[in-house]
Amino acid sequence: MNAPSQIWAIVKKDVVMELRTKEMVTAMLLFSIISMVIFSVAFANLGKATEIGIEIDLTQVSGGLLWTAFAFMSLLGLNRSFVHEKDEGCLDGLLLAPMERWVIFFGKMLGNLIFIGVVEIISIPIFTLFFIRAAWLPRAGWMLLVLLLANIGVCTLGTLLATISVNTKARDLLLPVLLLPVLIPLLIFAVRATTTVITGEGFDQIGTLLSSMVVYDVIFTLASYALYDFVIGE
Amino acid sequence: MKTMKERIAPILAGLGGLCIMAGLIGTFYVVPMAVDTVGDPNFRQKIFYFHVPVAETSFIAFLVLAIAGGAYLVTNRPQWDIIARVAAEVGFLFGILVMATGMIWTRAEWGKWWEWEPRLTTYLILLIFISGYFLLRSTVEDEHRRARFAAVFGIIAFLNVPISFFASQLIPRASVHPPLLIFKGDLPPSFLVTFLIGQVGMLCFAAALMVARTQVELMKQDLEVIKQGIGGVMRGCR
Amino acid sequence: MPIETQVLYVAGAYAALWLGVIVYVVILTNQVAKIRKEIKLLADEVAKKT
Repeated sequence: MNAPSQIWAIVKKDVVMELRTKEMVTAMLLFSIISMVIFSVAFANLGKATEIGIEIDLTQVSGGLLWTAFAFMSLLGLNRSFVHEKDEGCLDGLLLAPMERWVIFFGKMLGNLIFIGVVEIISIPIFTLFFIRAAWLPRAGWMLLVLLLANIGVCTLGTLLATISVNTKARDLLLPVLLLPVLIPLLIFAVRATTTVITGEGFDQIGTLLSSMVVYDVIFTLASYALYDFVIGE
Repeated sequence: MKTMKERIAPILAGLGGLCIMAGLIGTFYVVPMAVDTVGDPNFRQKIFYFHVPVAETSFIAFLVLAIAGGAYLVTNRPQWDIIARVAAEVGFLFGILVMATGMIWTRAEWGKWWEWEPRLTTYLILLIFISGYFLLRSTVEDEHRRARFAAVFGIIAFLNVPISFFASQLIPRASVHPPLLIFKGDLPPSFLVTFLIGQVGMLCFAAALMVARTQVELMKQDLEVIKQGIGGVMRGCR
Repeated sequence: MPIETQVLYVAGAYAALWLGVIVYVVILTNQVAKIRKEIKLLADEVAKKT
């Protein structure tokens, strides 16, 4: 088997497993939606009273709220994808198979990318329904681009650091501590880009923001790929 | 008599101390008093002369951390891991000092203790990184694994610092912090010399701390070895 | 801001700086003292047994 088909095999394994139980994606999606309910409570003061209730317009802070929810939701997904492997001995199985380590890296990373992406694509329309009064549908393409670039960063670093954290005593407790600080610049870019896409204001900034995200992704994908050998296996 | 190796730390400390004293005298007696925009004397600008050296030293400690980590990954020699860990400690100490002096300066200059602005934010992130580094180390028991994981995280964290700095500049606000690279030509000579002496002093002092701390670590390890050895001997004597 | 308050702030910053360093050095010295004590204990044990 050559590398691309090996990678595809790993991705397929993760996807098929998830399709059978649907546990992880359901939990991630629920987390996303529950966060939004909490937002409605937290920001109730900003709402405008109507006949039946309140209408809350969070367009100006939409990027921040979305990415807060997504950051934690990604942690759920990343943790789950590795703790399971480690416990079931699947990780050792992968290591025994005749494939290069970096193949495992990209396989896991793409799998996570798919899951996180799916949950985000479902969550964003719901968030729009709940909290956005601006019509940003014509800019939906930009939104997808932002999501893709941000998720690549989250998943590469997430895969690397999840592999580390799952091999320690603290296991999944450690991942937030390691991953979130490292993601801060990416989150800054993503939040600003998302808010820009949704509000449509300051759209001239989008070029800088997107290219910054690309730079971030390139640097950290290369770094994670190079360092992965040192963290997986004995 | 003390060997040369044992003398390094006190020598560095002495040199650092002297430079810092010289820098201090320079700051308060040689450098003319800075003047406010309204023409009032700006005494609090003097904080700058030790706040910045501390900041740069902490950054260099972080650099040492990353390099030592890389060296460990390449050579697998445990000495590098000790250096990395010591660099993290000193970097953390100096990082806290940067925040403390920085916040005092912000309070003196602008009346508030905290603002979300690029350098303060980046330093906060740096401190969080190093805390995560120590947390990571405490959760792994096997020495080699711990060293490897710590090295990888150290490198990733270090790569993140310039990017964090750039990203936090995107937070739109008028910068509260004075221009960072002020020594790129803005300062008249007397300022510059005083500043550089202070900088060198701080670096020497930090190096002294690191060397001393490393020696303590090595002493601890030797002690462990001796204890194990003696345990064997004692058992044999019974 | 009056100059006396400014001096206070500068002094405060400087004090914070050296406080931190002194705390670290004290902890370090403590560790060295502990190690010396342990070495002495071990040396005594060995002397007793031989």
